[in-house]
Order: sequence, then structure tokens, then C-alpha cells
Amino acid sequence: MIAIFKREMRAYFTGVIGYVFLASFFAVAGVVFSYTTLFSLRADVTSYFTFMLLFSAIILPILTMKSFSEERKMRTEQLLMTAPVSITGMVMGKLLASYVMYAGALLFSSLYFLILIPYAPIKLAVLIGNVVAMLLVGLVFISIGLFVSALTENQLSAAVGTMAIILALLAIGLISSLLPTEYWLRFLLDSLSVFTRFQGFTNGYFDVASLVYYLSVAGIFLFLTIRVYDRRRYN
Amino acid sequence: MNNTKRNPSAEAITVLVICAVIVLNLILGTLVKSFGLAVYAEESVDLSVGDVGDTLFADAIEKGKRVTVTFCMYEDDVAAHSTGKYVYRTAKEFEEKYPDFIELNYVNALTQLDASGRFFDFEKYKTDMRGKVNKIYTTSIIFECDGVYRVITDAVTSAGYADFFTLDSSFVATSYNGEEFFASMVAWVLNPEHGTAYFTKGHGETATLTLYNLLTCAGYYVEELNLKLREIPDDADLVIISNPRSDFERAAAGSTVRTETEMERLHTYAQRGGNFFVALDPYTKSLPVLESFLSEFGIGFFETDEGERQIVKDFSDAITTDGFTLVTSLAAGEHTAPVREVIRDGRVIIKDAAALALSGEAKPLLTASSSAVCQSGGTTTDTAGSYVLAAASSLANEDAESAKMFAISSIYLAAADAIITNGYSNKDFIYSLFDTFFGMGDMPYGCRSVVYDNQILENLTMGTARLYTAALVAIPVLIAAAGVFVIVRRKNR
Repeated sequence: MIAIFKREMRAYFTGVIGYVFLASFFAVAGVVFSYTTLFSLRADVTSYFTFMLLFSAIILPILTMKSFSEERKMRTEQLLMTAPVSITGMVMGKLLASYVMYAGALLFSSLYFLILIPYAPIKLAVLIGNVVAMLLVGLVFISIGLFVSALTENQLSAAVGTMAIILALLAIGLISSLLPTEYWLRFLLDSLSVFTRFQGFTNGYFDVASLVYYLSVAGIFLFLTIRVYDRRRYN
Repeated sequence: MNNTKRNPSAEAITVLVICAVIVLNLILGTLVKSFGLAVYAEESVDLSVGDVGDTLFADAIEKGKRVTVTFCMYEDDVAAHSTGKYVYRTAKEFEEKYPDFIELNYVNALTQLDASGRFFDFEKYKTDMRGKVNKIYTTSIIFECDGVYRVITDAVTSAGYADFFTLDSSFVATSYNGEEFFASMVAWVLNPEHGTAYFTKGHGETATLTLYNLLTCAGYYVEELNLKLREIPDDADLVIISNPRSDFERAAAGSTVRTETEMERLHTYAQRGGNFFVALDPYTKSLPVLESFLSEFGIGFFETDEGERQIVKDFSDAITTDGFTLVTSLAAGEHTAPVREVIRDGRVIIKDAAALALSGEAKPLLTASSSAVCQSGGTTTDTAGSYVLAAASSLANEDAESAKMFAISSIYLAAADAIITNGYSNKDFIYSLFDTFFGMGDMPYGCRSVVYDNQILENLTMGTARLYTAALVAIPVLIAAAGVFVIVRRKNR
């Protein structure tokens, strides 16, 4: 797994995609931070992270789109499956590499709030809540990206497919607000909604169910990715 | 050779695992809702309510009345809303304190369904009790009792629930006044009759949000009125002249114009027993027509021999070093006894006030300390002290009740930062005027303002903000440059 992780990290920093991801991430983070705090004259943590959540829904599919689809396209997939590493190890290695890229960028951009300390007290609990929520949401989005990437050899299809699933998970919570729904259906939709769960963390509200939700959704997609490769290995 | 090996049991296991995870999440979600398996990391603000309801609701509770308070979004949405969560907690406090009197209800304004899927008809609430249009959003709240209702909708900010907060001049919340506003709205629907307070306009007046809110909490509908265009309506309980910058109109001598002038309209209103609340900025140039109207009530400015207004300054009883933000006292006398009963030893702060000169029926309400001095053009002109800063007066009418006037020579009495300080009694003083002087009845006295952390970035200039932005934008530029360098080097190897 570590070997796969190192290989992926090397690929990010010797190829274009890593730099494109980081440059785009920090460009948007800088502009959004300036717009939501500096030029608004408010130490508003929640608005910044809400924007970054929506941006992550676009940028993370681009980060993950070539994870497996590139391997299939270049026919190096066979090498991976016959390598002395389990499929789980392979998937986890790729997950870890993408996650480290994302988490590193997120944590570094969270340091921007240090700029505001001389001007207003920062609500640390809300900041930590937002960062934790973004890390969990990122894990989910990357897992979805890996799964969709494993299904196709076309990187663009992988990116678009990932964005579609992510946006569907984000939009689920809106359905109960916009359409007449029974209470049990509303409860179900809110339970499945990434955004509804995210809002709790942004208010400094740490809830076991939401933590389990994010980990289990990520777990499901990783499990499905492993299943895809498990089937492919025996074909 | 195709060694396809399908494993149906593996696929079944996959489906089972996914279903198990979904069920686990639903169970855990239910448990968290039921047993509160969560931690609030943010420091909790004390939103406990005092005894304001004991006075305001006493009669209604005795008669067995019930007030329904309907939030226009579901309960967990209100509880998670950035500003609504405060109102929600206040509502829960009131419900807990008066369980048989206050009932909370949650309905989604978009779907018109409550939490159990029952339809809630919003049609009735689309107009207020006077027939004016009500806007209902998900951040609206409907108070109702025995067919009397009031819809509270934030018409000022995008956050929602602004009426429960004190806003500064940029419409940013500075304090939370939920206890006062909630109690006032409950009291509102217990009484079907409400008068209207009219702010005059057309002279540069400032109808401050804080004064607007205080009037609403006192039980008034609040409207604006341009006296150049129409007369004062019959439902006017109070006319407010707040910080006019230009003078009112009076018919020129010998004029044959038949339309009533502004002064004539004010006189007509006074003759039928009207009430006036006048706040003047001492730094505004002289307004002879308006001041002549005030002089009929015996209220005028204490001027120098040259006719200059005198600004009161006090170095001992002031809360700012320049001496212009004064801690005032209630004037001695029987006439201040009802107010004294309400604010007791409370102190009222006023900034930038001029001394008043009283005659006739006018009586002092607020005075500066004995150590205060008067200044005009920066020069001390009088050192007598105990200057009158606010006064009340009445004007007898033959065929109607006396007209009443409260006048103050400062525009700071109802300013946002004066109202939100719990250490001073500006708010209760204003309420006592509405109660004891203008006869509106019970008021929400003694409610606490909770300072709202609006996280304003103090002392950050736009120039500094641009420098920070430039530094932040430099980061991706450096990353892109590093990337180009690395890739070009690899290609050239």
C-alpha cells in the first residue's frame, strides 16, 4: 500500500495534475477567503467553508479522475493486479495519496484564518468543526471519485460521473424542503444528505451519527471499488 | 480462454453490506435525535428568560388563553439556523415557563406541511389584521391568539429574524433581544386593538430601526407619513419627529393656498388630543417653524444672547473623556414618579445634547448633573449645571383630551449602542414614556440584551485587505510556477 501511495504522490508532483489541483485550490481558496472575510469585514468561518464545499465537489473529481481510468487506458492495470499487493492495499494506497493532497491543501488554507486574529476573535470550535466536516466530506468525495474512475477508462466520464453523484448527494437534502414529503421520507432524505450533515459540524455541533455517516459512505464506495477490481481480477 | 467466474454470493454480500450500513445510519440518527448523542463545542450563550411574562401575560393566563407561535420551518432547521437558533431557544424557554399558555408549532412555509405531514393554511396570514400584505418566508414567525395574529418577517437582512436583534447602521446585528421581542409579540396578540405611530418624513428625518422596534414592542403599528401629501390619519396614536434636517412648512402670511400646510396638520392633530415624540439634533441649524410649534408646548432651546444653542458637557458624570456622553438623572417631582417606579435608580445616557428652556406646562424629565456646563462654539457659556435635556408637556384642548409632547435635545436616546447596554436604562425609560405618559399600558420592562458576536474585523482597512489578498493569490502563482519548472526540467532531461 505504501509503495502505491508513494508512486501516486510522485505522479502528482511529476505530472501536471497535482500542480493544477493545488494551484486551482489555493487560487479559489484565496479569492473566497478574501471575499467572505477580508472584504466583508467579518470573521465568518462558515461562509468560507460552505463555498469550499461546493468547490470541492468540482475539484476533487478532477483529482481522482485518472486514478484508475488512466491505468485501464494505459493497460498498466494488469501490472497492478498482479503486483504483490492486495486489491484493498492498492485502493487504499490511491485513496491515501488523493486524500493527503486534499487534506494538505485544506489544512494549509485553513491557516488563512490566522490573518484575522489581530482584528477579531475567531470561534475556534466553529473553525475546527468546519475543518473536520470538510475532511470527512473530502473522504466521501474522493471515495466516490475512485469508484467511478474504476468503472471507466475515460477520464472525462469519470470526472463527470463523480460530479453527478456528489451533486446528487448534496441536493438530496433540498428535496424535503422544496417538495411536499411525509415526515419519514424527509427524515430519510436528511439522513442521506451530505449537506444537511455538514451544517451540524459548521455550527460546532459534533454528532456521532454524522461521523459514522461520512465514514460509512466512504466505506461503501471503497468497498464497491474493491469489488469492481475483485471481479476484474478473475475475468 | 474466458475464465469468467461470477460469484453471486459476493454480490449478495455487497448488497447486504450496503443495506446494513444504511440501516445502521438510520438507527444511529434516530438515537442521536432521541438521546442527544452530540457535543456542542461552541460556548453556549445564556438565553434564559426573566419575569417579563409574569406581568404581560398574567391576565391572559388567568383567563385560560393560549398563544400559538408558528415557525415557518421545521424544528431541526430552526435549531440549526444561524440566527433562528437563538429565537428557537428563547421560544423553548417561554414554552417551558408557560407550558399551558404558549404552544410552539413548526411548519415548512414552502410545502405548507407540518412535521407530521398535516397541511397548514397560510392563506389567512397573507394579509395583516389591517388588510395590508404580509410576506411569509421560511424565516417568518406567526403569533396568534383567538383570531388575533401577527406575522413577523425580516424585511431588512437576508439572515432572517432581524426583529429579534438590534442592528447597527450597516444592518449588522449587535445584540440579541429575543426575550423582549418574543414577549412583546405574545402580548401583541392578546390585544385586538393597536394604535399606529407615524414617523414624519420629508425633512431628512432618521427613522432608526431601534426606535421602530421599540414602538413595535410597545404595541404600535409603525408607518411613515409625509405631511406635505396627506393629513395625520385618525388612527394615529403617536407622531414621531426624529432628527429633522429641514424645517416644516407653514402658510406664508397672506397666502391664499387652500391646501393645509404641515404645521396646520400638526395643529389639527394636537387639537384632537394627539401625542408627539420629538428628538432634535442640537447641531442641526435652527428650524424656526418647528421650534415655534414646540414653544406652544413650552419647550425651547436654552440659547446664548446671540441665539446660539448650548451643548451640555460634563466631566464628572460622563462616560467618555470628551464629556459629551452624559449620564442623566430623572428630574425631581411628582410628575417623574411613574417613570421612577419603572427604572428605579436606573440611569439614562445621552450623547451630544443641548440644554432646553421650559415654560408653561412643560416639565423636565431628564437633567444633567450639577457639575455640567454649557458650551457654544467650543467656549463655556454657562456653568449653572442641572440642565434640562428632555421634557414632557401637555397642551389643553377645549373639546378633546390634552395633546402631549415628549421632547429631547439629542438623537442618541434610542441609538443602537445606548439601547443594548444592560447597565443603562434607555430602553426602559422609553418604554415608561409609552406606558405612563402616552398611556399604552404594560411594557416589556427589564429584558436583557445579549451581546451578539457579529465578528466584525475591527481596524482592518481596505488597503491592508488588498495586501493580504495579493499575498494569498501569490500562493497558487508560485505553485503553478513550480509545476512549470518541474515539468519543463523533466522534459529536457
